[in-house]
Amino acid sequence: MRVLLVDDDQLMTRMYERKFQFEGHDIVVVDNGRSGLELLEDDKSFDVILLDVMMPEMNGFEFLEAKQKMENAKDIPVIMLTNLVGSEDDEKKGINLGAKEYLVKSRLQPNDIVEAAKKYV
Amino acid sequence: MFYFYTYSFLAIVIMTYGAINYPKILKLANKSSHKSEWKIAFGLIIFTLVSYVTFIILYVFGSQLATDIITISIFYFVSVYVLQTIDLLYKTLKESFQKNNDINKYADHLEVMVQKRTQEYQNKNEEIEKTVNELTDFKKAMLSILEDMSNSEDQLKVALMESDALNMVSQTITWSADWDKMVSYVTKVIALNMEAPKSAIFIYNSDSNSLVAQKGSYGFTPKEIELLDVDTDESLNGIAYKTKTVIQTSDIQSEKNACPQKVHFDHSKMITAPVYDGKNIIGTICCIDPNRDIKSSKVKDFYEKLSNVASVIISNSKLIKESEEQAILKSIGEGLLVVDNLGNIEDINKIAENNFGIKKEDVLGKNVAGLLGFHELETLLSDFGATYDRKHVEKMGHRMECILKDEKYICAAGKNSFHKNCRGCNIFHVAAQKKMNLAFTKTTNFTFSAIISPILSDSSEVIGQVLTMHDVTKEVLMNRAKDEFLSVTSHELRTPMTAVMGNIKMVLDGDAGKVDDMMREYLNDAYIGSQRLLALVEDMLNVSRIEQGRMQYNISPFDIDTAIKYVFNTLKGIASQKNLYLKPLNHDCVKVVGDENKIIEVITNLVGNALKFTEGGGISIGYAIVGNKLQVSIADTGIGISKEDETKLFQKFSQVNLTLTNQKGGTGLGLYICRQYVEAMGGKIWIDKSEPGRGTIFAFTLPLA
Repeated sequence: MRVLLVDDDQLMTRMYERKFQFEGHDIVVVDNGRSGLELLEDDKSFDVILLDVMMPEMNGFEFLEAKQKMENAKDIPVIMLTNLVGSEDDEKKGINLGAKEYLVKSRLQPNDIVEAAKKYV
Repeated sequence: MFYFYTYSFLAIVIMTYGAINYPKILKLANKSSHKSEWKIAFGLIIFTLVSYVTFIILYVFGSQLATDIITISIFYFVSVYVLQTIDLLYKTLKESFQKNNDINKYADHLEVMVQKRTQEYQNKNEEIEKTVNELTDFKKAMLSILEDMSNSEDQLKVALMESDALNMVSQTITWSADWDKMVSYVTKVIALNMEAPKSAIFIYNSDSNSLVAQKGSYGFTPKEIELLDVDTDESLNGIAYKTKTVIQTSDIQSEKNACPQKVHFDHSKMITAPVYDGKNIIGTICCIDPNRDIKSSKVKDFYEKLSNVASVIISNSKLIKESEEQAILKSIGEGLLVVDNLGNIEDINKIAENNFGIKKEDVLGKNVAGLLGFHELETLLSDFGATYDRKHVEKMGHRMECILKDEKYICAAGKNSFHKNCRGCNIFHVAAQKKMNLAFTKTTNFTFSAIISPILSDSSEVIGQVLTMHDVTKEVLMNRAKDEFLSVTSHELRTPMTAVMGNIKMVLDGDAGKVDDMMREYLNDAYIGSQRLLALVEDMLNVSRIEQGRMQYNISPFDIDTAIKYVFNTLKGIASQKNLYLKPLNHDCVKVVGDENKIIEVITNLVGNALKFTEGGGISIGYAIVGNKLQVSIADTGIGISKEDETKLFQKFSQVNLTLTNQKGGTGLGLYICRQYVEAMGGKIWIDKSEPGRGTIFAFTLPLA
């Protein structure tokens, strides 16, 4: 499984990197939406995208909107991950923009995230 | 011979005439310009004399011819003389006529002069008459003063009374508009002045068309005063009220109508006068059984004066009261808006004016619905009106919060506010749909919480509403800041905690290599500690959102079995660790309405608590349909809860046993959140049964789908 993780918090990205690599998956990390889009321009071979919401330069929703307009990339499933509060509205927004799931990081362990990603491969 | 005598006679006549007239002619000639006449006359006389002498001589010595010539010449001269005399006479007459004319003119002039003088004299006369009149008046005045002086006793009393009245006015002011005291003082002064045992003030009541005796009236017991009220159409006081005159018993024929019979007094002796508040008549003031002879007009005047003074005092008293009320309205630190039953604005104080950015004179009489763009409020206000009795009304304190947004007020009401039957009234956006009639100049956001209370009349009828506005802008801003703080804090707390827990979990799972038992034990504690910390953060966040009213519920029908199964799956690990059973009692696939995730949280919480406090046996979940609700029961075989603790259980931070709390972990917020969730979904949560040492049954209900 080849995973793209878009998140600016290194504490989180390092943790998820370890888990995915430990489980034998390929994971690429970028720290904001814009870098993610640039990467997607060249490489559309990802099975699933894990997307944080709050990021500098380009946030998760903006990334999602732009990504859905990209040929060949729009079919890559997206799982949104957040630790924001009052996320009901954000959840609806994300789902409406095409995300498959909207997960709260603090409620899930790294292995739960891997399991969630596996569903879309 | 004939000739002789004739000539002699003529000559004598002419000469005599000439002699007689000569002085006259002479006199006239001297005065006038007719100087030639007298010479002619004189010549005539001389000539007549000469011719007469000649005639005599001729006649004596006789010649007929001579006699004839002389006779003819005498006739000629006589004729001339006569003609001249006639001419002279004419001229004299003419002259005298002219003179007469002059006299007439002079007479006219004199007449004018006389008239003028007469007028002057008349004027003088009038002046004199006036002076005389004045003197007469003065005399009269002097006489009246003398008369008055003879009535000095009354005068003195009036003076005393007036000074008394002044005293009353000043005293009334210091009483700060205590009506009863004012009534008692005024009536007392009147009674004492009239030497009467009783005196009363009546105020007109339009509802009953009667004059109501005021408390404190002099000489009456409170019970008597209650019986004293009189009909305006059938009483002496009523006549005084309607005719606005001082009336005394002697003025009317039928004396039995003077006062009702309920209270005994000699109503044949009574005097009553109208009482004014400014220009408006408001009632009467009457004096009963006066010792003074009320038939005398002086007493009537005196009484009128008394009632005038009373009117001034009453007006002042009311004025003080009103200005006091106004002052109170003004100085209240909260916005006040008073509306009648139709929602028309009757009064608004300065703070409310500022709050709304409006001016009192622009909004008085206008409908509050138009002012606030707030039609539902109008309905609510009128709803308060007719249907509530005093008991209900007194209990009501209706609270709502309004915020100015896009020039419209959006108002939200607390859970238990407003109409009982108005479930949808929790939050309403009235202003959002209605365009406001009045432009608000205020641009800054103003948030107020308002309490609408009904205004009750004496007969407990709702006659209007008063809206008290408390500016909560600062509080709202602070709350917002608190929310933001919480939200940021929790985000910042959640992320590192997630990393702590995730990494510990990976180590425990052996991702980083083999973990021996001791390491596992330590790491397990670290993991549980992190979990508790994270749970606390979550709970605090939830509480904050519940209390802000910002908790969102996704209400939809769901299968209760699915929720129970989900919880059991999550908790079966813990249960098996403690060797406890988890037993679902039903599998009936009943659908309920609510937020499935939150109900899962509720069940997780209840089952989780049960697992924590149970050491042997287990937990079973059953449900049953009760009315239009589904009742879910969670029974454990745990330590149980004592009666006094039961009530505390659903409050914030209210774990029953602190030692146990520390042992078992928990935030003390779980059951509080459960209750808020269940109630928000239209259900109830309670402890169905509990026996210390034997176990507890928790129950909650949910609406059926």
